Amino acid sequence: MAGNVTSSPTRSNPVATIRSLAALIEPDHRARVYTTLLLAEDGELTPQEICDSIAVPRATIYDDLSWLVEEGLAARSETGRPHRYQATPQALSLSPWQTMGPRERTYYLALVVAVARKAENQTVETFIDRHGVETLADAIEYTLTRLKGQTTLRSMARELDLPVVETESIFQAIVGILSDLNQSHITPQSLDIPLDAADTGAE
Amino acid sequence: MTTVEVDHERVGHVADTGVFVWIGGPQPDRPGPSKFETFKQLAATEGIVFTISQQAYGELTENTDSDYEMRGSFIETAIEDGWVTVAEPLDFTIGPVSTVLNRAEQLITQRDKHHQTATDARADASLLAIATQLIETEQTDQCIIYTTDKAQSETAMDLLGERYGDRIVVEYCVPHLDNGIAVEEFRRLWRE
Repeated sequence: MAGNVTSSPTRSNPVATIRSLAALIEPDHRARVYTTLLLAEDGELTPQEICDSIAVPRATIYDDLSWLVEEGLAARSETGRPHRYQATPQALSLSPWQTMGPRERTYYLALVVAVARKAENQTVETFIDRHGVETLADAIEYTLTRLKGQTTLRSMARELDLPVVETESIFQAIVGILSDLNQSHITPQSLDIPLDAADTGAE
Repeated sequence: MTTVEVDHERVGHVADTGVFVWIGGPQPDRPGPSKFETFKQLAATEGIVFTISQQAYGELTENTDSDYEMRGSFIETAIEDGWVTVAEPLDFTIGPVSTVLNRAEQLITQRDKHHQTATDARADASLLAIATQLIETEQTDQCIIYTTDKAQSETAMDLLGERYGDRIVVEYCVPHLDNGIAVEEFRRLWRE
């Protein structure tokens, strides 16, 4: 798995690169630990605080944190005890993160958070069970385009080959995830979350 | 631009599919009435009747899948209760109706990066044409359009705003988005 982290980013196919990155944070509990850190209000948490907020055994959380630090997805403070951890996608110096634009980063993080929250979000869970993570990834891409006013519900449904109601359901679930990302500690300028009613959508 | 004195009872409310998907979708994580019950109550209190297009009605009722059954059945219930109605067929003998439909179809197609089909674009444009018909036939003094599509809302503002001024209000209502919905109660519910 680690080999995938150090592989060269494929600029011509960012979606494939992002998908391979998303696969790195399987299994589910690792993704949940990662996204709990990512969306932490103060930007960092202790293992116990993570344990208090998600139903994952403490020993597993320690294993996952070690893995995330090794992969450059999280950083551990070296001062004070207990150690505090911070999700640092910016630290992915060997990963495609550095070469991604804000939109690709947003897309990637939304996908990671959606997969991680599968157990808590019935709409996302049903969608993944029926159509798989790849279709969810496509739905996120269309959602970002649609929020910029560059496509519509019916067009999105046709592109995904899904009923309109199901398409709108996953759109609204993804917007909820983007809204959470918008309030995370990640620097706003590193992402492109089009949740602005005044956005003209013009490029 | 025209400024009108609005008679509360003569305001039309035209809503697209996404609004009702939200009402029938995941419920608030709190005890109390469902979004459906709350909207039904709001509609009764405010005297609001939401008009949906034939297309939206078809979309909301087509899926017999159990996960979406609630949406299909609740829209039928809402119609029976009288706070949702399906729009009359568009009357193309009314000049502005066909003009708005054709122009909106063009504008929405131009915006779409995925080369929207004529059928999709016409369905999106029909929401604007329904609002036009309600105003042109003097069934309403003012019309509020509710949509979860930015492309549709901005086209409505450009096209109908120019034609009807503040007789048209467009609500781009995406959940979680703090976007100043004009109807106070509706805004509060939307943000829950």
